[in-house]
Amino acid sequence: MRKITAAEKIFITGLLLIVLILISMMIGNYELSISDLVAISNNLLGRDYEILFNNPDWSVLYYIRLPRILTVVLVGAALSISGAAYQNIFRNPLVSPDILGVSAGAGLGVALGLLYSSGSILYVYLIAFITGTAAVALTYWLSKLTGGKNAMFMVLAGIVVSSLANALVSLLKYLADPMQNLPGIVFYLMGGFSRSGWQEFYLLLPVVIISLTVILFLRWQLNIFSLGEKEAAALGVDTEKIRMIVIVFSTIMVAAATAAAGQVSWIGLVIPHIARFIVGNKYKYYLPASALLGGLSLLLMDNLARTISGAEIPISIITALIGAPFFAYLLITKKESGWN
Amino acid sequence: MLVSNNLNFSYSDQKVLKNINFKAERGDFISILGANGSGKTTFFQCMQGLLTPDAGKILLDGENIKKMTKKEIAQKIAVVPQESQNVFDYQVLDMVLMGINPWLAFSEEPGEKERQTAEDILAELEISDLKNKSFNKISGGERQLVLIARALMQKSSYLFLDEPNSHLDFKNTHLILKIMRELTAKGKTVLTALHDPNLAAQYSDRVIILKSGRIIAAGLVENVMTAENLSRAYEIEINKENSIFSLAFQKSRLLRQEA
Repeated sequence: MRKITAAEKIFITGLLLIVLILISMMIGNYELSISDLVAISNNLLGRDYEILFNNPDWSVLYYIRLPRILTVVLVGAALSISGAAYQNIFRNPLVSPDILGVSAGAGLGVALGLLYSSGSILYVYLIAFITGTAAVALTYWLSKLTGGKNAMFMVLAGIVVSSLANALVSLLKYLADPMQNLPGIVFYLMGGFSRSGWQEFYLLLPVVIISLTVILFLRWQLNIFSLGEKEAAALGVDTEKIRMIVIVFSTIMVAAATAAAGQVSWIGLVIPHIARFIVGNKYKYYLPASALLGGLSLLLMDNLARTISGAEIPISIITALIGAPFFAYLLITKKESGWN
Repeated sequence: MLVSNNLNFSYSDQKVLKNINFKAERGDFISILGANGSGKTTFFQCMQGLLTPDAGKILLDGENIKKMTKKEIAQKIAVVPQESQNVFDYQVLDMVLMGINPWLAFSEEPGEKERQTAEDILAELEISDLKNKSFNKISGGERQLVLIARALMQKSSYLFLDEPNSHLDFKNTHLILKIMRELTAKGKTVLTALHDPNLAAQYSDRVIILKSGRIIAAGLVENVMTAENLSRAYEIEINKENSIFSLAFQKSRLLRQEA
């Protein structure tokens, strides 16, 4: 039998994602069947807006489920493609997008926003985006101060900044009113998509699309980058420029994703590995596959989060419960190089 | 022509290179010798533009290397690194294709034409059978050949090899250096750091001996490969019975006789 090519695998992943989006529209506390969806699309195509807008199915689908599903897909794609690009520029398969402090920083912004911004979710978004980006800027500045030119200093600086931001989040939690504010902060940071409406989606969309495009644009050079900085430079890659571009766009993308969904763990680390496992390391396939698989798996997990029990389970619990054992499985079974 | 004038380099307050004057011309095969820590690798990295010297100028075909982009340098200088496995594995053909990068526009990717060139180069080096194998799984000698193929893909006039044989066995060491020799005959300029003076004498035209960041001897093999220079470089006493450099001496004697 002929082997399935990497391009075909990506196409299949794309199809699966579309199928899963359709299935996700139907499941939930308020059940929708295929015939309900068909009825809605018939109304849409026939421009029977009167009937459509009075149909509760439509309201559930359009105002609640659809924006949530699309936001989940964006966040999943954003986290995994940043993780994938970071693994190449840091030449390390154990790197995830939060390594430079973006999600800890954005988490601090979420806590600040929820405590001091009179509850407007837009403010929370904005502050989280700013603090997430600022945290990475601080990491970058710190690593410059050490005079260290290699990537290791940057990772260490990231640990410093993340710890600081996490300590400040703890401080804010400690100061927060345990009845009024504390639960809000805790649940927001544990991650979830129950807040996701169209407004949130449209805030996220341009940031993710632009950053994703930029990173995909650099895929060939990122491929060479993974050979190591000196080797890449000798092959004519402007390593400093490429690293800077990837960090900037990955940071704004992950900051926005964290602002929208809280700290979603494991996706950015595990999904790139699954992508490598399926399509290999070649630049043409690895980054697009990471993005698609990221969207697909986070959507799968979000469906679990909202259907497993009557109440919604925070998403980072699910991603960690599935991601950690799966990663262990990969560590045990994947004996090839790349791990030494 | 690749030239360095009064090149000086230091890491913080430690001077690593002192007043290095160097010249390589088309078709030269130059070996750099010296004990560990004599500054060979630093010299290489300066000549590639990876490190910026404290003082002195490096001219690559007449152009100040400091003012050239990485891409412009890579169009002229290809580096064959010591073979090692990659963190992320690639197919051999893809590894070779990466060599074309300095000739591509910023976001351009190699196409069918480049692929054909890569296959031709693999055929030339007689390693076409490796094409679809994974780079990490072939042997060390094969990996070094693939890295040479990648350097040829770069279409550069200079080839740099920093201790190319450090992970190679006897046979592959000679194979690689023989290929380099053939490339110089085709007009490439080869610059290599070597640990073994015997190898340097067998394959190169000119030798530079570094000691504590200074050139203590430079020139044609027959003039430089003397007991005095080598014993100074490696701090080993050399007498008639001591035969570790005998091949080098033999070769330089032969060359002197011819002259």
